[in-house]
Amino acid sequence: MTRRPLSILVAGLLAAGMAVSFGACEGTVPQVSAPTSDGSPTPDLSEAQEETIRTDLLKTIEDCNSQKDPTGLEQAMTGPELQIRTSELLVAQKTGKLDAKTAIPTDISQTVIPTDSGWPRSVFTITETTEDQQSKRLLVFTQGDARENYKLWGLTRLFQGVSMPKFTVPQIGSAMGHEEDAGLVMTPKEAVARYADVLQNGDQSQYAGDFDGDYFREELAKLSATVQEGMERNKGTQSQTFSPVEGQMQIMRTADGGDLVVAQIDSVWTRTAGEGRESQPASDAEKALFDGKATSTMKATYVNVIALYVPSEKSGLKVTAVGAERQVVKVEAV
Amino acid sequence: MSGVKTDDQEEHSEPRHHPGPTRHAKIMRGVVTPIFGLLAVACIVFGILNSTIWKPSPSINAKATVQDTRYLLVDPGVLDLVDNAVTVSVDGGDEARATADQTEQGNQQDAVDTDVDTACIAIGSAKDAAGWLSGESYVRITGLETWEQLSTSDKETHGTASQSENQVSFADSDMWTKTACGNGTAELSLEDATSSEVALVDFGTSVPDATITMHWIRQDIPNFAMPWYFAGGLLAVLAVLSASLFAMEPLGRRKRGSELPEEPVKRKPQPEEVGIGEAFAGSLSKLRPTRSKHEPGRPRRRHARSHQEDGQDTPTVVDPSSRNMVAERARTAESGTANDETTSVITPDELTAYFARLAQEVGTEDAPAGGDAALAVVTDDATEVADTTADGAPEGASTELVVVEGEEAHNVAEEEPGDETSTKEPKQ
Repeated sequence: MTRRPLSILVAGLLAAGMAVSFGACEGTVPQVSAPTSDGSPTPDLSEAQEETIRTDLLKTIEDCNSQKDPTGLEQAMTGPELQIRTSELLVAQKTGKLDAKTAIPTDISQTVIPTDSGWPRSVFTITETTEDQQSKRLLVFTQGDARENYKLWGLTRLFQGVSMPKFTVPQIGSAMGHEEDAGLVMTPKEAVARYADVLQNGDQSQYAGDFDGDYFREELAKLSATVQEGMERNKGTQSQTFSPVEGQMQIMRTADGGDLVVAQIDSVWTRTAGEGRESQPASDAEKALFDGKATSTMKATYVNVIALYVPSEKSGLKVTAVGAERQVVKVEAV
Repeated sequence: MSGVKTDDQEEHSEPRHHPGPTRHAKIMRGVVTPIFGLLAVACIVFGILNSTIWKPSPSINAKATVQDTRYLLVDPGVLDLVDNAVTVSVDGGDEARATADQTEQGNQQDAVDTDVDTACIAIGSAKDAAGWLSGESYVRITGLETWEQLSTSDKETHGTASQSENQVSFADSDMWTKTACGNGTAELSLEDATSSEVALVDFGTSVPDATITMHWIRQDIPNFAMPWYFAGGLLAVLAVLSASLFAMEPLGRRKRGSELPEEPVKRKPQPEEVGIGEAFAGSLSKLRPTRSKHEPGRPRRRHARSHQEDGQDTPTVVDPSSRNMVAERARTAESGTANDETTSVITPDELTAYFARLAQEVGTEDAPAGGDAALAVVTDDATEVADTTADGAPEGASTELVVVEGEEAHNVAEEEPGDETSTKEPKQ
């Protein structure tokens, strides 16, 4: 009987303890699991982000197009495309008509998103054909720094009927390539330099055999031959030099282990008229950009953007140009 | 004492075989049952409390306060730590707002719309956030310390700051999948946060006191009530059992004890199914004094002893208890002890009928003398006997079973209810 009050006390304490311990219980706090992102790199952008970025940029470009004013272009463009579009808009100001090749379709057939964690980064996007059935455009957007935004760096018109290499789907993302990528028939940097040589020297180039024939090369050769013909009639001369621009190269790994290389190659076309004649602009665009007094020699500077597919060493394929863009940016009489 | 009590009880009780509450039953019902009952009630009360006022809150608001920082980085895996739907809100304190106000005043209308949004939250990938934070010091939100407290890291700085001339504002970066900005404070809700996403907060300038709050609605709230209900249910069952079955247990033992010395009896009455308890009760009055004599011993020993004693009464293998029972019944019938009478199955009339049958059967039994193929079969397993007798076709079954003495076999047969016997009689 004497134990009873004690028992009651103990029971009371136990009950109180239980009440406290069970009363405010919220369950165990979840723990953050260790990140496993190192195993599989994620794409730098989602497709939706790419679309947003592209749409915004194209809207800015469209605004500039409609105003034929290159002032705001820097917001949306960089690299060779900035030079090219600026020139196109200046030409349009003069001619009153924007060249049809400047059209950029908003629908895309494919986008290639990198998985690289560093900068600069580049996104390759292939559009559909334009409304007037021009060929597809290969757009290259780059982000130079984490604190910068993507801008349209390059645009090439893909050759009709060209077969493009395959890329990893954007949900997985592709790795970006490097100028010195090994395991290819040649490094991207070599490919660009050799292609420039082929453009300059045509079939006489020592590298002519390394490249499959392409539309751009053929057209350029034809143009050069036509001009050459005229020049020869006037006892004039013409020469064109092609030189890759250092650092202006964007590379994306393809699914088959090759590289798609988009690079800027500047070219200077010097035409000297003979027999005391004046050398005149060779095209409407040159004419629009030329505002001075013609002399015997005319130097036209072109910006070329070429897209080369550099296959892997094992493939047994040659390097192929799949797309190109060429625009005169400066015409001067010297 | 208990025996007397029991008898008294029986006098007043219904013709049930229960002897009345023993000390054990009293303890079970008076002490154990209330304890179980109280515990059951307590458990259920706790269960109800846990499912109501103590229910874990599904709404989680975890907060952290950080000093002297411009950037806060919510680590990967933190946004979706509790649920995929999360709301992040930050407050840069007066410092951030003051800056905003000043900007507003200073720039008049020009920058009102753009520069007022000093605090911004952005959702992006860890590598993008790391790229943006390159060269900047920041504090990481690393997880939940408690349900109310976010854990933070020390200030960190990695990489070198961007030298780009084309820098865009924090909120305008292409890298973020979602941004929310405000004047000194910002709030951003995500419907489906993933573990790879991070949240980056920029207060625009280093603020002395920054607060970040993350709000989730828990989907899987731990159910602390169910274990209580379960325990409560178990205890309730225990309480009921201790009031009924456990309280009766010693009685059961007694019955067994009373029966075991007369094992064959146990086997024989069993065919009667209903007769188990009744048979016990019938023999109870006789056995009790015996039990009280042997009280200190274990029941089985008692059985053994009484078995021996009984065995002496009847030298054959014949089950003595059956005889005892019969005799006892006869005795009680003669003496007219009302109580035992009522508790036994066999009424005096039945007993008379039984004796008549016995006399008849004894007469007929003499013919098959050996009794081998007849129904005179007793095996160790009483149920088999029950089966054979109940079937009403003892002849078939007898072949497999151990044959006991003819006389004994009669007993088996005779013990059967009237119906069974009557069906058997024509056969014989």
